[in-house]
Amino acid sequence: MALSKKVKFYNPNEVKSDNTFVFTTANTATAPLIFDRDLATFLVSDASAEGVNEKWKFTFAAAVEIDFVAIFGHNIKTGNIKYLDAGLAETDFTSAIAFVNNTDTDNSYEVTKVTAYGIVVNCTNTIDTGEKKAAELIAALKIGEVAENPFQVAAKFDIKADIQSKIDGGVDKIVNGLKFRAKFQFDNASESNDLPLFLDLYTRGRPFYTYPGGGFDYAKRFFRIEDIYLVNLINNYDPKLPDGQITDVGWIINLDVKEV
Amino acid sequence: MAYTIQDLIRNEVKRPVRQAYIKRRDIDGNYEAAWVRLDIKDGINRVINWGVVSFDIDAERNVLNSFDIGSYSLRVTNQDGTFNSRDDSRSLWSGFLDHKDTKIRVEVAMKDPDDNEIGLIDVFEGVIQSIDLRAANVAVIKSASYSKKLKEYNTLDLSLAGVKSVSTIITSIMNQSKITTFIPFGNVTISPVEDIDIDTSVDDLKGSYWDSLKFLAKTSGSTIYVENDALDFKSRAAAGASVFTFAGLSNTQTDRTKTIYSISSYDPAGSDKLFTKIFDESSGATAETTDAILLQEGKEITLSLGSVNTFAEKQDIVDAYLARWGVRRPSIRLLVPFMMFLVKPFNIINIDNPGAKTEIDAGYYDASVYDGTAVYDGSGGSTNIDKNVDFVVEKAGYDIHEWQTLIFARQDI
Repeated sequence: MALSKKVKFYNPNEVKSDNTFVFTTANTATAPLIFDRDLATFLVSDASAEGVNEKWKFTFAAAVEIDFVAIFGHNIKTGNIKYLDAGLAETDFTSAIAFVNNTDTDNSYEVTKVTAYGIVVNCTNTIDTGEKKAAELIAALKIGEVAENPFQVAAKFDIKADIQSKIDGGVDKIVNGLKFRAKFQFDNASESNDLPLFLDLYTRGRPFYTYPGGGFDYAKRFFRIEDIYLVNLINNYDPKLPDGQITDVGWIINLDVKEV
Repeated sequence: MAYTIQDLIRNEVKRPVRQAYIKRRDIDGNYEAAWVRLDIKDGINRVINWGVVSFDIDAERNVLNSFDIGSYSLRVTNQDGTFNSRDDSRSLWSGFLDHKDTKIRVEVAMKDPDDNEIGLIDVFEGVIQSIDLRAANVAVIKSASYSKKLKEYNTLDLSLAGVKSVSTIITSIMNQSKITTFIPFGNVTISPVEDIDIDTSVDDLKGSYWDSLKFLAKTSGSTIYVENDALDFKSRAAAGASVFTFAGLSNTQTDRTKTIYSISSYDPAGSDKLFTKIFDESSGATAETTDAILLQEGKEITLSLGSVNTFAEKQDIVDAYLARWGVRRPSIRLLVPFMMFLVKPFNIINIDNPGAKTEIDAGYYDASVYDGTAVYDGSGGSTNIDKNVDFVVEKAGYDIHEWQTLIFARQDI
C-alpha cells in the first residue's frame, strides 16, 4: 500500500486542561473526555434537543498558532468548528470547517495558520438524532511533514500486561494498557527537509503527534483518519548513507516511536 | 451481560482502573472544594508505580497491641516540574501552601468486557507528608493515613481532669475541628471492649493524641482501625457474614475458578499469638486458662492497668484478653487477586483449599480438580483448609500496581 499523503508531525493538542470550558448543556467537569486521547470516551451533551445548537467553547490559556484541527468519534450532521480571534469572536478558518448533511464521524483538516485564542464546536443536528457527542478534539500546529515517505512502517500495539500464576499453575492476566508503537523506515530521506525535521523531533522537549496516514483515510489500522498518536522517539538519531555513496542519494534512517 | 465486581475479580483477564486526586490548601489554609486529578494530565499518564496500601489491626506478629499509622507512596514522572515545590511556577502547588498536608485520595475500579467501569471505590485517603524529587525526573509522593494528624497534637491541650471513661476521652480527642477536618466525627466509631474509667492524671495520657488512643486501646482490650476518613475504636470481633470464599487446590466451588495465587504460610497452631496467662502488674489481677495443654503451649503477657479505676474493671480486662488470645487461632497468609476492597480487617473469609489430592487408583488425574469419587483419599498436602472454617482478616495489603492482595487472617473462634 503506497501512502498518497505524507507522514506528518504536530505539536501536542492545545485543547487541554488549562483551557476555560463553556458548554451549552454538556457538563464542563467531563471536558477532559474530549482530549484524553481515548476514542472510547465521549463528551456528550445533556438533554440537547435536535435542531437546537450545542456549543462547546474551549478558550486557551494564551494565544497559540494552529493549522490543524481534528474531531473524531463525533456525530455532527449540521454544525461547524471555528476559532476564537483576538476579540474572542468565533471566526471561520480560511477554508471554513462546516458540516452540512454530514455522515462522516472522523474528520481532520489542514487549515491556514491562524493565531487562535480558543476553538469552538457547534452542533445543531446529529447523524443519529441523539445527544451531541465527540470522542476527541485536536487543535495543533504542524511541526512538519516528510519530503519522502518511509518505504516501510512497522506499526503495532504494545500491551502492558502482567501475568500472575495461580496456585494450580493457571494464569491471570492483568491488562494495564495498550500503546501504539511504530518504526518508520526511510531509505531516501531528504537532506534539506527530512533530516532537520527528524533532528527537531529527537531534540524537542516534549512529545509530538505522529500522523501515519497524513490525513488520508486508508481504512487500514494505524493509517485511518482517526489514527494519530502522541509519541516520543525512543531510538537514536542515526542517519546513514548507502555504502560508498555521498551525493545524489537520500539518507537511510529509522524513527522508532512509542506512544506516551 | 451485567458483570458484578465479584465476576470481574474472578475473571482471568483483569483490566484495572486507577485514579489519584489531591486537595490543596490555599494560602489561608483552607482546602479547595473539589478534588484535582493527579495521575493523568491532558491524556498523559504520570504514574510509574501505584504502590501498596495496607490496612491492619494488630500489625505485628508475636506482639499484641501494635498499631501502625498507614502509609502510601506513589511514584510519578516529573520532567515538567509539576511536583516541584510551590516556589516553582510550573508546580501544581504554585499559589497554594506547599506539599505537606495536601489531601490525597486513590480510587480503583475494574473494566468489564464491555468497557464499563465497575466497582469504583476509594482505597486510600490521607495526607501528603513530602514529595521527594529523585534522579531521572522521578518524584515520590509519600503519604500517611489521617491518623498521622493524631500524632501532631498533645493530649495535655485537652485539659483532662479527674476520672473519665475511655469513650469520653476518645470523644474529646476526635470531636475537634482540627481532627474533624480529616476524620469527620460522624465517621468515628467508639465501642471499646471495656468502657472503663481512667485516671486522666496518668503519664500515659500526656503524649500525642495517637499515643493516648493506643494506650486506651491496650487498656480496654480494644483495637484501632483507620480506613480512609474513618476511625474505629472497637473490639477485634468479626463483623457480618463471610465476604468471600477463596478457591484453591481441589476446591469444590461450582466453577472451579482458582482465586488464590499462593499460600505463603499456614500455622494451624496459631502459636504466634497464643497467650494463656494474662497478668496485671498494678493489681495482681490474673486470668489463666484451665486447659492444661494450652497452658503449656501458650505464653504469658503482663499488662499495666494502673490507670484503670477499680480492681473489678482490671479483672474484666484481663478476662477479656484471655477470652480473645487464650485459644488456638490458626493463622494464614495468602496472596490473591486484587479484591477491590471487598476484603478488609474484621471481615470473615473462607478458604476452600483441601490441597492437592493423592491418587489411590491407577491412572492420571488432574490433582487440582476434586473428583468426588473414591479415586482420591480426601486429604493431601500440608495446607488442608476446610471451606467451612471462618477466618477473620487482620491485614489486607492492596498492591495497586501489581493488582494483587496479601491477606493475613486468623481463624474465628
